[in-house]
Amino acid sequence: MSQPPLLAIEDLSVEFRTRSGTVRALESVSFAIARGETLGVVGESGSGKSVTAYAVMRLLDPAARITSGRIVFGGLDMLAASEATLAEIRGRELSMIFQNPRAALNPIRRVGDQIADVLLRHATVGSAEAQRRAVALLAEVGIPDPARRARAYPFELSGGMCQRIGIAIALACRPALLIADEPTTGLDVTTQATIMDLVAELGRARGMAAMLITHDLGLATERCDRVVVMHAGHVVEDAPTRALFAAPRHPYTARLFAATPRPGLTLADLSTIPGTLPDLRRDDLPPCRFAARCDRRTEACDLPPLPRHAEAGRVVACRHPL
Amino acid sequence: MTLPALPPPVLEARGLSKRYPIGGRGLFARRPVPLLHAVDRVSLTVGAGETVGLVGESGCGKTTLTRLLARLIDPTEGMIRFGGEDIAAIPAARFATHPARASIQMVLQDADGSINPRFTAADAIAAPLRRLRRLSGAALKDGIARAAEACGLPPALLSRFPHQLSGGQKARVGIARAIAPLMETKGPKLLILDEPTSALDVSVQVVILALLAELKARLGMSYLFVSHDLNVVRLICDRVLVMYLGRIVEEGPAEAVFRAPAHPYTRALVDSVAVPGAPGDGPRLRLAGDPKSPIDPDPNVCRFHGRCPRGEALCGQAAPPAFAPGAGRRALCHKPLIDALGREAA
Repeated sequence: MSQPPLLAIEDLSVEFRTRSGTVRALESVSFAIARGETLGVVGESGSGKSVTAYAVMRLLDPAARITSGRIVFGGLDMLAASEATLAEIRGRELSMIFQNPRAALNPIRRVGDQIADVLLRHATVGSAEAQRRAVALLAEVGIPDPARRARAYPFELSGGMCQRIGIAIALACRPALLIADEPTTGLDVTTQATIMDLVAELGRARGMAAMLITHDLGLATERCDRVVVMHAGHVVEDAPTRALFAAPRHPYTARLFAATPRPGLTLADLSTIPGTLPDLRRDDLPPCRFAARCDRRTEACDLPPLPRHAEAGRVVACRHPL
Repeated sequence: MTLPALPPPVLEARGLSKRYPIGGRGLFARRPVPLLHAVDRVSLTVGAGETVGLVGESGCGKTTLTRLLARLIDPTEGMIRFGGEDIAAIPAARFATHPARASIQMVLQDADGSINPRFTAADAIAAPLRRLRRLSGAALKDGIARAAEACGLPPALLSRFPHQLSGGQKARVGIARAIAPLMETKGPKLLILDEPTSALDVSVQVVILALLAELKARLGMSYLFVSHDLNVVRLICDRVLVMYLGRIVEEGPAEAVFRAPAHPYTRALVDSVAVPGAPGDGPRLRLAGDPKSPIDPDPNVCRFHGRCPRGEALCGQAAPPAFAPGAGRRALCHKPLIDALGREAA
């Protein structure tokens, strides 16, 4: 691991200005993704998973303000990069697949043309060659009868097929990093499995790194080398997948896992997480945003700064880790 | 009074089918109208106090089946016995005023989309009490308060609109609305839950599942639990029904079915589920392609034929027989994965 990481997020803080106050959506988020690595980002709604992804893509809403931090992707400072540079990188080096594949596609353009658009934009190919490659990509993502499907509109295809088109678009230019934001939510379990097989297989074949944003701990367990756990805009834990689930060190990770149904358990075995997420519009957010819900809390937890213990390839942001 | 050893099932369906004609044909058209077999000869029972899971991919007929059982639509054929009475023959429009209407209730999938945004929580809970129990005035207020209390909704939240409620609170309103008309009724009570927790975070999901378990015991209900999440079905269901293209292809005690599926489709479903904290090893069964068309399916071909990794010539020539791979289990398959003693089959 002497090589610099492919993506490094350092001390990233993001705020949203809303009518009802400033939402501190991310605070001092730091993690990295190595080349070829699949990193899972897990957490419940409102934890900041998607905001992190959109910040990396530099696709944040205009109401968002990055108040501190750095995002370095392949040596490039993403926060200082010009819009033209970003447009070159997005879709070519860095691409994204979205939660709702049908909404992510242009409804009035044939799917083959939508794939060809990316190739025309980023690869030095003519339109005939782009069309030919689009059909080849459709075959690669497992769409039967690709030449005919290339002429289909998104509404003519199933949700699973639309997500395959999304993957074909994202992978058309062989990116170094794929960000997948809940890529299988809303798809049938059998389709979910084949879609994730496809991402894993294409990723391996191309040495592609991936950032998989999910609320599904099963998916993270099965597909990720390492997992970052987020809670209320903080990274609370960052560890290799096996180590994380074998022995979670942050009380929130442990609580999240204890609330997740899995085989061999009954309802009585699951425990709840007391309390709710803190209101991120508050001015007096405590250093540890989990403290109010935590049974290991002491007075020391209310004193800044939030400690970050780093050892043996894992990081835990807690005063009293397990 | 002596209790019978085995109480009769709350709900029993036999040979239930729903076929939809596709495309308008002229009166003198020569060819018969193609029929979409949404639900095909389904038989099932839900016992007293039982939670029965219903799983399958989208388009398999789960929703049509639940709408048939709730008597929101009329079956093409078949029998539905609820509390000893055959309710299948009663037209859906007339069933709306039938006394059993209040005793078969549904909790809908998307609490966001299924609660009128212009209704307060109290209005949402009041609507079925007004229509089905003809309550008004103080009795109505009392009914709302009791349903809300049972679902852990503080009175202060009742005047709020859906957009002012959290996901968990909306789920509680959806449940309160469903149980409100059946709380005071006698006799069998069936709650059909269509993905009640799919939109919720795990920490909220646990709370709602615990609430459902508590309500079931307290009100003496039975549940038909429709879900995509097999980990949740395995957690809370006594028995499970696996549906594929309109047919129940496997059924049995949930733990037994999930631990050793007999039908290759069930195996593929189970293999698709990632287990949190335990990375899977060994080969996984994956399904290629999409299900066949449900329009005029060939009665002499297994519905899963063509997509099934174990398929053989016979599967394309004869409908699969029912096979019992263990106590209380049944699978429709020519080449089940386990034999009658539960051992792995070749």
